[in-house]
Amino acid sequence: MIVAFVETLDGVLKDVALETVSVAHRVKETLGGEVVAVGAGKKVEGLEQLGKAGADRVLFVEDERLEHAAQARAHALLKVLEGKDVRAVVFPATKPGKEVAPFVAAGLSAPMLTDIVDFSFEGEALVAKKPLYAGKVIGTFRLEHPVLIFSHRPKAFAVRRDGAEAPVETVQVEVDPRALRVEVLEIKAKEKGEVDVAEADYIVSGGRGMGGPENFKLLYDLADALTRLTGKKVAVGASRAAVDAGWMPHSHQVGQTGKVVSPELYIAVGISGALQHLAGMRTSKVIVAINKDPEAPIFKIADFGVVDDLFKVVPELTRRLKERAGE
Amino acid sequence: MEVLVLLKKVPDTGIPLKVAADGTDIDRTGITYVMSPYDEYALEAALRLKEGGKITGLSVLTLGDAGADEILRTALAKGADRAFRIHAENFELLDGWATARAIHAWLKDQSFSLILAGKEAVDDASSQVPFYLATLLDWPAVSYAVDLDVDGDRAVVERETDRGEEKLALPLPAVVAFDRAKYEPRLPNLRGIMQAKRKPIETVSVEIPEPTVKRTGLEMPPPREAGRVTTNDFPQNVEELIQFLEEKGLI
Ligand SMILES: Cc1cc2nc3c(=O)[nH]c(=O)nc-3n(C[C@H](O)[C@H](O)[C@H](O)COP(=O)(O)OP(=O)(O)OC[C@H]3O[C@@H](n4cnc5c(N)ncnc54)[C@H](O)[C@@H]3O)c2cc1C
Ligand SMILES: Nc1ncnc2c1ncn2[C@@H]1O[C@H](COP(=O)(O)O)[C@@H](O)[C@H]1O
Repeated sequence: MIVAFVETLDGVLKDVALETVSVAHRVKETLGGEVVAVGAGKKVEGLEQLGKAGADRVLFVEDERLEHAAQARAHALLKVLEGKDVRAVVFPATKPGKEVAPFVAAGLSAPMLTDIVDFSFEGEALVAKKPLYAGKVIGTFRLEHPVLIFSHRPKAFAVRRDGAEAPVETVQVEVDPRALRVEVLEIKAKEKGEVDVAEADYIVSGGRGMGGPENFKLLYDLADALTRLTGKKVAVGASRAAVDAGWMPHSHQVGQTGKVVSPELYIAVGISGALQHLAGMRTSKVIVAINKDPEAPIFKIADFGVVDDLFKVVPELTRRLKERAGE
Repeated sequence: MEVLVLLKKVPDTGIPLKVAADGTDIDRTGITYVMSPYDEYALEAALRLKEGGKITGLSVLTLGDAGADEILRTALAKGADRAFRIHAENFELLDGWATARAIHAWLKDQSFSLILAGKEAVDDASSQVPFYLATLLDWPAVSYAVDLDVDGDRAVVERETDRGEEKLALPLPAVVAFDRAKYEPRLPNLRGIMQAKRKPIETVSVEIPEPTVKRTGLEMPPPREAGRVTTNDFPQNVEELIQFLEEKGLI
């Protein structure tokens, strides 16, 4: 069987799970067997939807204790897979996926590949491409092993939607206390409602050119106008300069030491386009840059650039989008 | 209580890279190397524990070629007590499973209570080695740490996940992998640099396993098509931008 790890967070099924299942389905086209989507954590609704992306069945370990420690989640997964004919295990290369995957691979004494953006097969060997050096170079890797374990870059693979709902089975496993050694002392949950840059369809990002924290309101207004007009999930991102200045929390940072994103649209506002920033957003489908410096490197990779003062351009853009949305 | 920080040598992140003419490696001319940025945060956390009297010894380890001694030297200059290098000429071509087994071959005879690492090395961004190691050692491990304290026989980790901020406790011995920490890494001072010259770097040999994941090629990413840049006056430029978004079907 081909296993797809189902990413959930506090009882919510993540959209990326549909991508992971779709990727697993593509693996099945070569290796055969069934696609089994496996998750663990707090009870989740809507798991049958994974069938549409190609899951033949869904197994879910309902156990709140597995919600916080990746090691415990991996342990539960390993228990579910014990004794089964597993040919491949696919994870999303998200924050949770990148933490769980190596524990599962280690439990199977198997190698793995992280964050692949494309793949094919040579016989039963996986031949995959993955960005290296923060996307400056792409490497091709060959993995030959009885169990192929890898994680896929979010938004790099198309989602299938032609399947039928899949049967969902809740399973119990005996969790080894050693897998539960990590104790939760305190949780400060993020404010709900803000779209995470890693999950956004569109991102509006601000840099040092924003001039201060109060001006990020301009970007939130633009994001809001885009959401109303298009119904897309729009997030506000930031360069490291804006994060270091304390204008935005680090969870919004895009780049080498922030998040790697590939949205449909990335609007860089007052961002110069340093290599470490490009590392996080250069695979965006469409890039727009608004910068008053015509020499800014961001223009070298932008599909559309506006050389002007952001404090004129952004409010006007927002106003016109709102107009179109009928306000 | 002894702490080990894992440091990997990587090309400086601010330099553009290209594939060498023969296509088997990156072009190494003019490249300078640094310790991987997240490792630098892990090291900073360890130095702070040492200054706070929470740990007695701070060692650093790299698995790499002779050139990797330079990052160990930097760590010694910042205040690490001992530095080890497992010699491996081909360290950049080893997958995480092979790297972890090689490090484990040395580590199993040592007596560290805490191992710190980066959440991922910025060359292959694999996010594997610390977690393979933890499994081989049968220790608890977490990633995405932004701060760390030692409280008796447990490590208290603050970390950032998709959920928000979490504070977790791990019984020692444990592995903690760092994200960008709450504080910036220090630069070595002159006195540290002088002292580091007298501290030895201990080179160790272990059997380096063959990688199972084999790199078979390198290529440049597809270039982004040259876009349009408007220098027209406001508000004509906004009009053009809206037209562009419309053409692309984005609005
Ligand atoms: C190890 C390492 C990791 C790093 N990781 C990251 C990372 O993850 N993400 C990241 O972003 N950076 C990262 N950096 C930092 C990176 O090198 C740059 O310093 C940073 O991206 C610069 O941010 P910026 O573009 O906002 O600021 P600047 O480079 O200062 O650019 C500001 C831009 O705003 C423009 N501007 C100013 N005023 C206006 C106006 N009124 N209207 C229009 N335009 C205006 C200016 O023309 C300029 O181009 C990293 C650096 C290192 C060494
Ligand atoms: N060759 C190496 N030498 C020392 N530490 C390493 C090496 N490879 C990986 N590590 C450590 O493991 C972390 C994660 O690396 P990786 O799994 O390659 O993404 C790095 O940030 C280092 O702390």
